Amino acid sequence: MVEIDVSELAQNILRKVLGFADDCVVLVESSKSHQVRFSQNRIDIAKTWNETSIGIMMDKDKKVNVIELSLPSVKDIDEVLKAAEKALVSSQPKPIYAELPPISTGIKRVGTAVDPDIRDKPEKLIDLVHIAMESARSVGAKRSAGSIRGNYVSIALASSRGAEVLRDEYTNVYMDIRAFLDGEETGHASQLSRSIAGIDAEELGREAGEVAKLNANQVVFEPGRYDTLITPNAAASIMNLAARASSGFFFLMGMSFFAGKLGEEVASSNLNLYDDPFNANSRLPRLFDDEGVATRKNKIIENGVLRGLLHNRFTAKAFNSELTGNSGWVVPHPWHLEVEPGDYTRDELVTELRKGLILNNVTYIRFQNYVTGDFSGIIRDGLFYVEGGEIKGAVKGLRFSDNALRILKNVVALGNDVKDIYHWWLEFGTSVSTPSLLVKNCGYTRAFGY
Amino acid sequence: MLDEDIILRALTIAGDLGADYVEVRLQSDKNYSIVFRDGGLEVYGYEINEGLSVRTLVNGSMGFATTDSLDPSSISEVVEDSVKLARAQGGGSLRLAEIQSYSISYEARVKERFEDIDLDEKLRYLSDLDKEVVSLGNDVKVAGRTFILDYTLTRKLIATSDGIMVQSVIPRFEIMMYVVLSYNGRSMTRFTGVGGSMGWEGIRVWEPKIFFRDNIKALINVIKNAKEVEDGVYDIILGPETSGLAAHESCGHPFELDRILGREGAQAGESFITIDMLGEQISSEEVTVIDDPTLPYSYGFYLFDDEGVRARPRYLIKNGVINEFLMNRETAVVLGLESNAAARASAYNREPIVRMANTYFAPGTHSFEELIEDVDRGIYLKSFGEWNIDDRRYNMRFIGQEAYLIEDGEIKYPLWNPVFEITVPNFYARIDAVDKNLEFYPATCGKSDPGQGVPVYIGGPNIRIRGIHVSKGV
Repeated sequence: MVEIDVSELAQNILRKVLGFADDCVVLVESSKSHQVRFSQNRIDIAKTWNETSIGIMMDKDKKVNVIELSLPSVKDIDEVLKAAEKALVSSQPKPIYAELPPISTGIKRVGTAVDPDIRDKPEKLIDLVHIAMESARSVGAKRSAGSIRGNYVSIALASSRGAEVLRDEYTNVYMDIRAFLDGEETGHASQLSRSIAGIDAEELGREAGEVAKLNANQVVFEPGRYDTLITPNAAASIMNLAARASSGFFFLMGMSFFAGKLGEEVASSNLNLYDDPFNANSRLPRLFDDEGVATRKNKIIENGVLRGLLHNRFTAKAFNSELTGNSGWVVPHPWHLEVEPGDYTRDELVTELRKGLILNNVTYIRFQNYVTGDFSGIIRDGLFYVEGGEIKGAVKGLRFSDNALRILKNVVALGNDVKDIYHWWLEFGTSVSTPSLLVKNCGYTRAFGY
Repeated sequence: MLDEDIILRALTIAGDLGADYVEVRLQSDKNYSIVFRDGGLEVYGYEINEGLSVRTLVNGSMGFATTDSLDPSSISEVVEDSVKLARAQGGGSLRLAEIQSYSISYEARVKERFEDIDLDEKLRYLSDLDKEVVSLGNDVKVAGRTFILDYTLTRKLIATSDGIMVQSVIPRFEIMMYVVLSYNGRSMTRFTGVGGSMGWEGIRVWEPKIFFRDNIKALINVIKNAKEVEDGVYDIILGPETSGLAAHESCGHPFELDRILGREGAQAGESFITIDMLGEQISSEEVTVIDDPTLPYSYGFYLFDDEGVRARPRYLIKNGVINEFLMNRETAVVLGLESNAAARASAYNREPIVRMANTYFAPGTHSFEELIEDVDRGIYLKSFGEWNIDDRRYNMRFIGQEAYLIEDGEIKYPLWNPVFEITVPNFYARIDAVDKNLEFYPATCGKSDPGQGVPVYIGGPNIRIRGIHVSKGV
């Protein structure tokens, strides 16, 4: 491939845009990614992506336009920018405008966030797939499906608010496997790392296979409210909802169940939620956000109180807040969520639960009302019932149907079993480090005719 | 951008490297997006996403590589990557269904190019929409309004080593609205929109102002007057928006043959439908479900899929019988069949996988009044808010947003969030009548990892389902 000098490209475009705009930021992201997908105990496809995206945000007279380009358009950049200049003239000022902030300077990563094998050796991913499939089979899975994906990302940001071009690069790799027995008995396991060495494919296959076996002999359960141990797999999805709801943009748009609750109690007093790009396994370990502001660890929920929102320059202005280093140009978002662990081991949480359910994963979450937080989600890869502090068996047919705020407020205990989770369905590509949560009175419904 | 020389060079290189099959796709998506929130411009965005993908089959294994760098060395390299990845798997058993060879070009023509309309005219239109919506509120607060005007022009050139060359140009335009209503301690949130494969003339065809105004008026009635639903058994009439979603989620997805064969096992999921259910009666003779990419001006429109296969209407359920699955070349060959052109890729850098286009219950012979008059105790579930379905597509749920009680053959008053949760076989077994209306709504269907959102229509007629348990939820 032609090597792209991302810094030079960003600076060249910045210079051109500043010929007609008051301010501009150019974000060039060049990536090389590989993925291997498998199902039915065989590889379906192996993929490689070579991509360079160029984002340009330009301001003039408090009007703000955004352009996203892929590489072939660079040869037509003068024509593209001519159209952009015309669009800026016709555009309207933003009702809530904030100037582009000065870029943070002197940002340096301690150590490296890059494993070059992720970029250069896709065959290693193929080897890991074979290991995981074989491991699942060895513990009794009839078949398995999943994928492994590795990404190398190189970023350059040039802004009219600083002479320096900010640079960053990192890698990440994620593997998941779903093991199947005969029908609805499935088990899922996933791992997230910044290096290939951080993926234990054998352990993943074994874990998925063991969970699938636990899922045998499922019984249909009555709908109702049950105390529930929510494992990290499922807790990641729920905390992702909370992080989404704390984006300043969704707050303004009326798509947040936290709206109007800043500074108020929105969760149990034992719950602390942070956004921390510097977590060792953050999938997006970004040094600076899309406006060139240094990223940092932000408190979202502290002792159950909603302490802060995630901001870009516009939402920060709207809420009279400082910048938080979470800019997406339109929608500010988290980089990596952390739920502060508690003291309980997983076994102690099961004992504490006494009678109730263990929810192992939840997906396909949809809201009836974004403001109230009423939603339901699909239970996947394990729902187990517990009596007398012991797991008695597997449950089928129920749907997780509740309210996001009620769940957050009903957290009565947290485990010390933190896992780093990434699911392909999580928004913004955000990963989550979370322990298990013990939650009182979770709602479950069942379909008519099940 | 759609340079035949690039395509032919890639095909030649892959052939020289020993690929058994090569498919090359050049794709350019130009997107214009305007987000207009609470009466002001949030952002105007313009995006160009273009590049090349090369999919190869070597010794029964598939490789896929993409690049957005179109210089000769990058093209050579991306082809080599694709072949190398296929070969590195050590051999497999994948094959592709046979296909006729042809070279063809088509374009969905617009009457008014979106690009030719000044931005200030678009902003004036959105401002008028916003004012219209706000003016309807009176004592109901329209607390949040977001309008999104979105237009994409997609150009593709697809060529395969078995003699296919297809060039296409397809525009897609939609206007979406998200609103938050509040009244007397209640709130409602709703997404809805209009759209299709058109240019700016869609504004006159779809009449968005009337569509959004009617939506808001109905929601105001619901938020002010809706009563709690009593848990119990009701006959249900699903309006076109909801019957369309049901057709999409409970028929389209489980009839995707890649899911049935397990290829989406860890991603979108599998299916409760099995191959041996072909020919099985699952619904009344009134019920036919069609997925048709060839519907003119539809949001899911195409005439050739992303493997170059000529499209046609797919009759998934025909007179209540499971009739055919959605297939690409990779899955059709497993059943010894030809592809029915369901392969779609959402962008140049995505592999073509089995997808829907425009999925709907075929209209029947009844009038809407006939559906209603035969109901003693029922619910007209015109639009939905929350919905989901499990990954085998067996267990689905909708919550009504605009919904009304039916008593003794008459629509009475609105109901507050009635919950309708049912197994899919039970749903199809209880449909007894379909009316002759037909309406469509644009939607984006998501599937797979990496995610692929493709434009589709959901919609259809009103359909009646007998004897379903409905609740007010937990």
